[in-house]
Amino acid sequence: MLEIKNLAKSYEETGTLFENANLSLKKGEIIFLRGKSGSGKSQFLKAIISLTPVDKGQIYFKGEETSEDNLPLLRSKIHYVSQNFPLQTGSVRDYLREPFNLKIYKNKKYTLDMPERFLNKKLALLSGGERQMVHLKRSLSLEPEILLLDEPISAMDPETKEEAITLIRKFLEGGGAVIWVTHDPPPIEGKVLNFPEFG
Amino acid sequence: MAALGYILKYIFKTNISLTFFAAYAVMLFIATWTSIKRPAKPYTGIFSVSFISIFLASAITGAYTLFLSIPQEPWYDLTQAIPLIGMILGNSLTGVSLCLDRFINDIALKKEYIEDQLAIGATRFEVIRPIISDAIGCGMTPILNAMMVSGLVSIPGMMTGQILAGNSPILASKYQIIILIMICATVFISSLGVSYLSFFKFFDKNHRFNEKLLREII
Repeated sequence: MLEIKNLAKSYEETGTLFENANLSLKKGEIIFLRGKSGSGKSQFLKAIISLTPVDKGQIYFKGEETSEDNLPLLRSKIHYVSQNFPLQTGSVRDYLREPFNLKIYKNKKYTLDMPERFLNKKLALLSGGERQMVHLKRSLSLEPEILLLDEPISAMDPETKEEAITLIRKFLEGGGAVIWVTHDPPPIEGKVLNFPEFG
Repeated sequence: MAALGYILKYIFKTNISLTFFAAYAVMLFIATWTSIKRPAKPYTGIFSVSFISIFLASAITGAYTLFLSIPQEPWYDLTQAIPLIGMILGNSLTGVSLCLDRFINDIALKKEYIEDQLAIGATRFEVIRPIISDAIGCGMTPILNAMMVSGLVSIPGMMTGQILAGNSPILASKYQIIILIMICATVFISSLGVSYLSFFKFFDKNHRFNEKLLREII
């Protein structure tokens, strides 16, 4: 489903972030990436959808090399869910509804599966764990094929974590695939790779 | 101001188009330089972005005013052309500087939100639209406020000057209306220009941030 070959990225100031990164992700598969803080895991995930430029390497999605001609379409199929919830005003409902105004999702049907009281809650009043859950649910509602999760449940309490893990399991069972950056032991059975060695 | 009086007296005596262009070039350079002093986080290339915007706005509205709205003989009559272009540049620099400040701050503050939207498939144009709209609104606030209360709270400077010089208040008000519209158009064009030129600097065609530039302002 996703094939990454010899991906490399460096910064002028800090030097090489990662090089010769190779990874293969199949339908229904989950891969956990573990590594030190600041080692470039988030940049690696962003590089997959060309949200940050790379020095070299190829990325194949469903057997075809990704091109820079239609990146919004690629990004609508491969979602990067960041570890930071973006600073924003408005309610949970506004946040969940917002992407449906984008051209790429104009034909998608907007559905909400949350209690009314929670949907009316102001984003600024949500706890860290609640924000992460909303962030994850927003992505799932847009039906991507691959999720690139950057520490998606780090701020959640055990109960909410279990709910999020169930959602991700369902996503995998539905044919999705996941790359998950985490510092904790993997909560779902899957391949674990050490970043940036990928061994 | 006393020195300016003597300088203008000397300049007005020459009354050739070359003097007008020389004065315009000096004023344009100073206006650009001043406009980029306000933003707390200037970025590489901000001078050229500001220069192009102020130049375009002042050239379009200046030419329209000198040739069509208030035509003179010759068109570059320095006693009219220099004060008019000065008014255009002065207001343009205020608009550009406020607009730039707002635009840069919004990009820095909303970096994560913008990246989040791009990450799920938004185009660079979709994410920047509300930011540009806010920045232009901010740049135009002083002139829009001035237009709203013009004649109700204060009598604008040019009209006051003409009345004090003994001209008819009706003629003075006609001139003032032309000047206010001209200034409003100038501020709009320069704010629009500076916002879009900054946008093309901060985002590349692959719908992502120019990381090097972004690091300069965060």
